[in-house]
Amino acid sequence: MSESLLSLDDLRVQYKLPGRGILTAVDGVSFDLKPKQVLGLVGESGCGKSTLARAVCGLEPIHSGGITFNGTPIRTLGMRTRPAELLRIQMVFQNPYASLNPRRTVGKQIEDGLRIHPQRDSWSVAGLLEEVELPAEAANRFPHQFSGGQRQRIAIARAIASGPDLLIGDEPIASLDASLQAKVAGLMRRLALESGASMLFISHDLAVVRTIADEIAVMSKGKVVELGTVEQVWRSPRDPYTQRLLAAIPAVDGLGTLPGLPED
Amino acid sequence: MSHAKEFEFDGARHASAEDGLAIRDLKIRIGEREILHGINLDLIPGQITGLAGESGSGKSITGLAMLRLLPKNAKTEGSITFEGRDLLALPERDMGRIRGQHVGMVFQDPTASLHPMLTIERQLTDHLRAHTGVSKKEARERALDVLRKVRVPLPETALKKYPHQFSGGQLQRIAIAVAIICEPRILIADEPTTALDVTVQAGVLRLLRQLCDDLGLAVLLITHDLGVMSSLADRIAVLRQGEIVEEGTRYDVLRNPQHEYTRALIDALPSHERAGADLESAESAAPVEEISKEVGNE
Repeated sequence: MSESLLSLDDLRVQYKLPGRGILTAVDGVSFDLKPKQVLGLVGESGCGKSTLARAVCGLEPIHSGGITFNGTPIRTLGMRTRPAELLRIQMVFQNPYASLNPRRTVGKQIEDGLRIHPQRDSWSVAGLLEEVELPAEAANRFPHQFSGGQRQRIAIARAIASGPDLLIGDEPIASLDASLQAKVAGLMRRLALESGASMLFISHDLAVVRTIADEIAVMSKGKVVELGTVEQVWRSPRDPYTQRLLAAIPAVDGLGTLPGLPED
Repeated sequence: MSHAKEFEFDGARHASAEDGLAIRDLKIRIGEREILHGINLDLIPGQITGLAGESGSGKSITGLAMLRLLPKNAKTEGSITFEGRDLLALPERDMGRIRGQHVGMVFQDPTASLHPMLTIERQLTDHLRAHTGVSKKEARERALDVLRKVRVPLPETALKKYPHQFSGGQLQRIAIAVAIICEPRILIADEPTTALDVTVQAGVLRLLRQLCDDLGLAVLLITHDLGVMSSLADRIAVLRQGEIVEEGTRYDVLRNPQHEYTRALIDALPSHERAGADLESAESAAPVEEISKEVGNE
């Protein structure tokens, strides 16, 4: 138990639907994430992967089961201030246009992160910007002066600034150009591991996830249907859903092969 | 740079750009900024022409220019020839007849391109009736027909429903139905599968290919996703900052790119090697053989 950083035990998250009915978004998920490991969580829209990420951050009420982070159970946040140990989890969201404050400079927002870093002077704003391949003078500019890809790198720098033990990316590359996706994902992995953190990387794109993850969990309808090393899931997927997902990824082979199966 | 008049085909179908649409030396300036610096592109019936590029390269503007849907302060030069007429010089009245009737368009986000408060029947038949003047009853028949063509389940019930009652993949099928119900000769698909999950995307890609083949549509496929390009496009043009840096057959552009920018785009993608390699059985062994054969020829 003690060796895993994050541990999910039969986690269930439910939503009440308007009127009657209950939607079980996360339906009995268990896994362990060890220190300095990258777990890729893959699934299609509506499978519950974002709900799972929000639950880990204490943003969703847990119906049953439990989440343990660094040995302490995670309780749902109400209107309280986030407890200090939960600040060791940082998140990078899908839309960098919405997750950065438009009225404050990039430098100021990265400083906020640095202020809660347990070891002072481990990073500087300029140092972090350099790590995400932006010029130091970017610190004085505002988010709207950057492109989507640059903004997402700023969001990554801000998350890393606070020295998290766990970095969660919730579809961090989904709004980027295809040619940027693998690069930004690789950058997240490098920075997370260099700063000693683990990463939970959530994406619908199995082709990108497998380039940066150590292990992959495939989620469908609230359940983890397959969990294994990248090599195993990519080369010999056991679950029929994973097989269908893999078959649907279009290959850039120039042959005009239509992805997926003929009958849908 | 003179534009090649001869075409090589991946498929067997032979046709000329005169039956489709030809863009020559198209320049677009919005305000002070020139967005397109003179591009040439041909859309050929029964073929899918891919326009690839990153965001901001001008690929969507090209699609919009073909329907003359550019912002008011846009200025255009060059020509877009369709049925012997230059679309850029056509009076607005005539353009209205072409738009939606002879040239259809499918956008990225079907939840935004369909009207949330009109039934699917209204959205499928309004422009059809305006363009062709068919009776309400006949329009309904055509709507049912086209929904079957795009394989929306239970077409009769679907006609009475509203967009929010469908999933994203079904909505995109309906948006495609809206675009093809007037039997256009040109279909512009601007990132048609970008908002969809991969398994749903696979179905929509198959549908587009089938429609192109069956109806002899000349399709312009605009996407930044080279995986989608590789599965659908017959020819690919790579657009970078308003200029086409490379144009050729799908195989040549993706397997033997001549321009360093194309190469960089391809190299930036995660490789797809050995996906499900251990699952491969006798039936799926054929394409692998084909690949090694063609690589060997290079």
